[in-house]
Amino acid sequence: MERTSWIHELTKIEGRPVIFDGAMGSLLMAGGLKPGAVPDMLCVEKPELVKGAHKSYVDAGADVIHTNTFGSNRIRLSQAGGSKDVPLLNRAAAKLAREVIEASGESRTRALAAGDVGPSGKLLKPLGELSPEEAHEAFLEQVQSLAEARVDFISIETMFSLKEALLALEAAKDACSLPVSVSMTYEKRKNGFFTVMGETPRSCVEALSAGGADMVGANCTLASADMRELALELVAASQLPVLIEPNAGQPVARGGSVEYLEDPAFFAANVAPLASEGVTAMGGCCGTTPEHIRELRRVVTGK
Amino acid sequence: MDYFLAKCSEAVSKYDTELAASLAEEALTKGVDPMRAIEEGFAKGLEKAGTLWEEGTYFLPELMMASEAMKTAMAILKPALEERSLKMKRLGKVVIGTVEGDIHDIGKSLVASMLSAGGFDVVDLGADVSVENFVKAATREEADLVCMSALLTTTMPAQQRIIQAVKKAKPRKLPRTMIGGAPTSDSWAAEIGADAYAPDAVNALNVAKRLMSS
Repeated sequence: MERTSWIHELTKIEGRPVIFDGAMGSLLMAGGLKPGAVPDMLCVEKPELVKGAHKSYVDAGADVIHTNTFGSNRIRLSQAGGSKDVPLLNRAAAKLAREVIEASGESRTRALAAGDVGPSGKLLKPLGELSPEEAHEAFLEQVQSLAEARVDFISIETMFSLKEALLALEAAKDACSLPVSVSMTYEKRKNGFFTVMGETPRSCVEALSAGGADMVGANCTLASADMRELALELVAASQLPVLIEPNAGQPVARGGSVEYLEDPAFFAANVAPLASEGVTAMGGCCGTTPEHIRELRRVVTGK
Repeated sequence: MDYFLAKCSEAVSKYDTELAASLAEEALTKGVDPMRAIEEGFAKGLEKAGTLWEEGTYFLPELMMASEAMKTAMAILKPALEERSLKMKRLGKVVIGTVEGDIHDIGKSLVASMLSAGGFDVVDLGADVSVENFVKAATREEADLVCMSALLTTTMPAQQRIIQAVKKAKPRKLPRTMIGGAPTSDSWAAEIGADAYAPDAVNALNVAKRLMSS
């Protein structure tokens, strides 16, 4: 059964799932991002490159594009030796996504810019050194800047610790009144799906729902077939809209570069049917390209 | 005695660092052979934690805390070993880091912790480590094993550059190489000429031990 949701209302999409974009880093590398450089910095250093990547996803039929801000929190940026001006970087990134959307022309539906928030990259106490206050402050700063530059909603992604995901969610709610989506990363173990910290999909969904999330989901690590299995668990556990973004299978080496095994047709054939199982929004993570998203869009619209 | 050693093992497998510390102290005051306390006691607990992890009972936090308990006990017993002119049995020297462009620190640190608790001397170079710094450290430390973590498709190729650069530098002792990180695999290891791939921290310890004895 299809669920309608706030994201359907915002995008004015009816009768099909909302399509999210796919991987960003590989497109940026193809466009000249040097190995070892921080992809987020391109928003100020080579904005046209970032806009080109956004545009290729909008042209492929993505209804939602993520700002290039996965690592744009002060904890991660200081570790990577990137910009110290976190607000500036986030605002610049949001502006690029907005410009691409606004230039995309008239359409019955409306494309959205999702303010992308990734993990801090550090472990919270007691396992690591990061205090909850520091994490909250870092996420608050990032979300405030993204919201100021008019993203449509906040998309917290690739969280492997429920505790950190809840801190990011709380900070996002403190920083703005936009809807907040929270997507966790799960591994498939012998006895089911778990985060690396040992949390189950159900426990994550329950805690995130109680924390005020507007959408819950899963992205990264899992290939499309495993992600299907997990998606059913998420839908069963959740009253909220569900987002899934699988990887395009496993990476393989092809003469010094890396390729992913799932081609667009295979990927779309696994992912698209989840719409009728109650998944609200779908896109791609590592290894997915505009071609994967184009094919996914084609299959879900039945054209 | 066996009961005491079982308690040592349990302190580690149940990741009770305080108990592990007080048992290590007790071993010293009771005159328990420190080598025996480690090998037949604490180290068994680390193995048990690894088994629980493989079974899906333990996750990253439990594994990390168990290795911390192990290291705490070892640090207390070390002076007693040295007094008896015994050296803690060390399996080899490891240089480990996350490759350049990649700041994922957590998985690599867990591997470093497991290797260290498991009996390796570990030099952790941190994250976002340049090819040059891997080569320098491997040469300087006369490493037996170089471990490289990459969590991104876009940073995986650096593992190949490091392996080639280490070979090219012709250090006095040519180290073995091991790779890891979510997108990597056995076939990627074979493609880039790494000696081994480890899918996770528990396997990393087993694979590293195997590499040292082959």
